[in-house]
Amino acid sequence: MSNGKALVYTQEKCTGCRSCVVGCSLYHDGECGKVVSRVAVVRNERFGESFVVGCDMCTDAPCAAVCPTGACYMDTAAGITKINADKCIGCKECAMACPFGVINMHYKTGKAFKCDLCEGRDAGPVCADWCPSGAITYQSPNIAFKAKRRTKLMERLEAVKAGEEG
Amino acid sequence: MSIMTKAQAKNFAEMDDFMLELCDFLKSKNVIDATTHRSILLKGFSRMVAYLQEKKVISAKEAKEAMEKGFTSLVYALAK
Amino acid sequence: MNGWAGQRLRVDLSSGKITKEPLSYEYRRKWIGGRGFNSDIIYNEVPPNMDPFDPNARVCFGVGPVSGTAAPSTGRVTVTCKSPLTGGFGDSNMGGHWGAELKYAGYDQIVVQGRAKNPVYLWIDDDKVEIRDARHLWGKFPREADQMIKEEVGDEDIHIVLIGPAGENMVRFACTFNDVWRAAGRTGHGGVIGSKNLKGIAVRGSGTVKIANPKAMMDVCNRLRQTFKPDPMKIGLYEFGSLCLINVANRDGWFPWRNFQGGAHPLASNMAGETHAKTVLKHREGCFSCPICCGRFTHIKEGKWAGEEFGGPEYEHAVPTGPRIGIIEDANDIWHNARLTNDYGMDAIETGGVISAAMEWYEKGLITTKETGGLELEWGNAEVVDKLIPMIATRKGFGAILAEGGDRAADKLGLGDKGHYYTITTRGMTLPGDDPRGLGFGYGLSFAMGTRGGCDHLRSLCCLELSGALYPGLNTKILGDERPNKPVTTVGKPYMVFYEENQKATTDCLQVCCFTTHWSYAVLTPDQVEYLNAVTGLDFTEEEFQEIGERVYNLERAYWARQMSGAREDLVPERFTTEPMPQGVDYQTNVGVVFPLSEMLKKYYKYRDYEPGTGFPSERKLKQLGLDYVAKDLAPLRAKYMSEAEKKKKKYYY
Repeated sequence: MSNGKALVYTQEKCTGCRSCVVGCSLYHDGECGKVVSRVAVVRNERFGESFVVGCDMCTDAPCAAVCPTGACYMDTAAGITKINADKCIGCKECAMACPFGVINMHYKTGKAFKCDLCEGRDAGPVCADWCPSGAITYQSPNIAFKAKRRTKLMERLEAVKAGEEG
Repeated sequence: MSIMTKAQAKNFAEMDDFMLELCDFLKSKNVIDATTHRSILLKGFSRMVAYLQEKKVISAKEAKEAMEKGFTSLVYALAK
Repeated sequence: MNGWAGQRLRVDLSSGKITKEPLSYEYRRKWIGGRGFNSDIIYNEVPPNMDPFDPNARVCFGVGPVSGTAAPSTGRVTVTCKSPLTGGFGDSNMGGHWGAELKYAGYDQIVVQGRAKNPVYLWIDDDKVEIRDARHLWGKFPREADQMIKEEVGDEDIHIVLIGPAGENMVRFACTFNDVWRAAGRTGHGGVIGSKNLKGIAVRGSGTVKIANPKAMMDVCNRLRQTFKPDPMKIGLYEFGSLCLINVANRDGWFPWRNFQGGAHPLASNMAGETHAKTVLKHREGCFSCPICCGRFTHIKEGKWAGEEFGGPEYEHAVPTGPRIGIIEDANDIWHNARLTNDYGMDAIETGGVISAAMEWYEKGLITTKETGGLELEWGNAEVVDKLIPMIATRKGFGAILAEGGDRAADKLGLGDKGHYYTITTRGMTLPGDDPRGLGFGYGLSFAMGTRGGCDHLRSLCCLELSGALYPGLNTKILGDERPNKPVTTVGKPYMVFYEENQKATTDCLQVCCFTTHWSYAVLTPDQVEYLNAVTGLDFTEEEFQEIGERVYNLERAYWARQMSGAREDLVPERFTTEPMPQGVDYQTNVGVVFPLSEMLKKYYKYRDYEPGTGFPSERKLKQLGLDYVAKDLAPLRAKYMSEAEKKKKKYYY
C-alpha cells in the first residue's frame, strides 16, 4: 500500500453520480467518457442502488500473475499493479483474470489500461478527491477499518440501549 | 470625478431598483457608450465598477468600497 | 469536434425515416445547445395554429457542448414541444444520466416528429438507430418498461427515457422520466410523446466528449469541486434533498397549504428532509457528474403503504401531492401519492394543482359529488386521492375532466371566472410550491413573466433572494445591492429576475444543472465561461454567454406573442395579489403580505425592452439579438393584439 494509503470504498455512500468516472477519464486521457475511465459505477436505478467498482490493489494480483509479457506488473513502492502500454500485446488475459472487472481495453490502442492511483498527483487520486459523498476515500485502510469497527459497534450499542429503554 | 450632483446621488441611493436608471444616466453623460451600457446590464454591477475604475472615473479605493457597500457608496463617489 | 457531437438526430415516426443533420459552427455559436437548439426548432417547425397532438408536431431532446464532461452536473436534458396544457411554448428539464449517454452515442439533439402506426420505442446504439415494436410495453409503468427493454437489449447499463400510462393517454400534463425516476415534469410533453405512439428512447453510447484544452478543463473542474466541498447549499441538499426547504418554507410562509389558502402549518416538519432522512430515506442519489447529489430514494417502512419505494421525492414533487391537497398528518400518504405520479407518469405539480383546484371547488360548493362521480373531495382525503390519481392518468370518470388541466376542467364544468380563480394558473399552468407572498417577490415576478407558461420557478430560479443570503456579498457583486437577498421585498427584484432568467437560459443551453449556479452559487457565470471555452476551444465572453440566454428567452417570449399572448397574461393568480397571507404558525414571518406585482412589472419590461402595450419583445431588441425573422413575424401582430385587447379584453388561457 502506497504511503500506507489505498483507495477505500464505502458502498453504502455511493450516490452513483459518476464524478469519479468522468474525473478519471479527463485526468488520464484528456477526454471525458466511461470507456476511458479506470473506475466504474454500476447502478440499479429501479431499486435505488449504486456501487463503485475500482481497483482493489490486490497484493497478490491475478492481473500481474497472468500477464505473458510482464506489461502488467506490481510496483511495490506505489502499492498497486500498473500496465506498461509499450509491452502490452492486448491479449485481454488480465481483464479476464481480474475478479472485479476493473481492467478494460482502450478503444484507441486495443491495449489494457487500469488504475494507477493517479501517481504524481499532489492531492491524490481524482476519484477520491472529487467523490461528493465519501464513498471513495484515499486513506490508510487500517485506519478506515478501525473507524468502521467503532461505528458498527456504536450502532449496535444504540440499538441495545433503545431496546432496554423501550 | 464628479459626474452628478449630491442631490442626484441621493435620488439614486433611494431607488429600489437603480441599475437601468444609473446606466442610462452614465450613458447620457457620455461616461459609458451603448456597448458598455449593454455589457453592464448583462454582466452586472461588478462590470460597472470595473469599467468606471478602468476609466479612472473612480479610484481603486472607491471601487473597492463600492464592491463592499454597494451602489449607494458608488453614486456618492460619483458625486464628489 | 470539441464539446459538441456536431449533429442532430431527426426521427420521423410516420415514414420511419431517420436522418442525421450536421450542426454548423454558426448555429452552435448562436444557440449553444440544449434549450437553445430546442427552442429554435420549436419556433421554426411548430406553428401557432398547430395542435400540440398533431402528428406533425415536434418534440425535442437537447443536450449541450459540456454534457457528459467533468464540469459539475452535466447529465441534464431539455425536452421541448408545443404544450398540450397551455397551447404555447413548453419545455422541461431532467437530470439523471441519459443526457451524458446520448452525447457519448454521438448526438447533440433528437427531434421526433410524425406518428407511428403502433407503439414503438427508439433504440440508439451509437450510430445505429432502430425503431422497435413497443406494443408489449404499452401500459407499463416506467420501472417495468425499463426492465423489459434492458432485458430485450441484453444490457443493464443502458439509459432510457420513458413515458407512463398518463403519456399514452395523452393527459395534458403527462411527463417523461429517464433512469426510471428522473423527471422532466412540466408542460405535458409526455402526452405529445404518447400521441406519437412512442413509449421511450433507449440509448447506449460508447464514445467520449473531446476536450480542446484538457489541462485548463481539469484546472477549472478541480477548482469547482473543491469549492463545493464546504458549500452550505451543497451540504443541505446532500443531507436532506430539496426537502431541506420544508422548514424554511414553513417559517417564511411559502409552504403551500390547501391550494395556497395558507402558507404555513404546525405539522409541516412531518415531511421535512430531516424527518425524511430518519424515516424513509433508502439512498442518496446523484445525477451525472454532480458534486451535490441531492437525489433521494424513498422506501416506506410502516403503515398501509409499507413496502412501496420510488426515486424521489423532490420538494416540488411532495408539496403538491401533500400539503397543497391538505395532506400533512401522515407523511407516508404524501410519499405514496408522489410514487403514484411517478409510476403513472404525470407532472406532480400539475396533478396536485388540479386536485387542489377541485377540492377548493368542492369546498366552495361550485361542484358536488354529482360532478365528481361520488368522490368526496374533502381536503386531506388521502383515500380519495389514492383513487383519483390513477383515474386522471387513465382518463376515467372525473379523472378524465381533470386530465385536461385546471382551466379546461373549469370550463368543462361550466364554472366561469369563479372556477378559474382557484386553478392558480398563469397561461394555463399552475404554480409550483412557492407562494410568492413568501418566496418571494422575485419568484412571483418571474411567475408572471415565465416563457413556458408562467407560474414557473425554474425560468429564473432567482435564488439570489433565497440562498443569496448564504453568500455574503453575492447580491452586491451582481445587483449592486445586498438588500434584495430577502424574498419579501421589491427592492432590486426587476433587475434580479432579468439577470437570473438570462443566466438560467444559458445554463440550460450548456445543459448543466442550475442547482450549481442558482441555489448553490458555487459556480458563477465566469466559471461557466471558463469551462465552456476549455471544452470547446472557443472564446466565449461573459457578455456573449448572457446574451445567448437573452436571445433564447426572447425567442420563447415571441412564440407566445405569435399566438397573441402578451401583456394581458402577465399576471399571477389573483389569490396572491388580493388575499393577505393568513397566519399558520406563530413564528411565521410573512403574515399579512400581499404580492405587489404591478410595482415591479413596468421596470422589468424596461430591462427586457418589451413593448409597453403588447408586452411583445420590441423590434429593436429582436434585431439586436439576431432575430430579424422573428421581428418580421411579430410586426403585423402588434396592432392586432392592441385592438383585441380593447374589443374583447380577451385573455389567453390555453
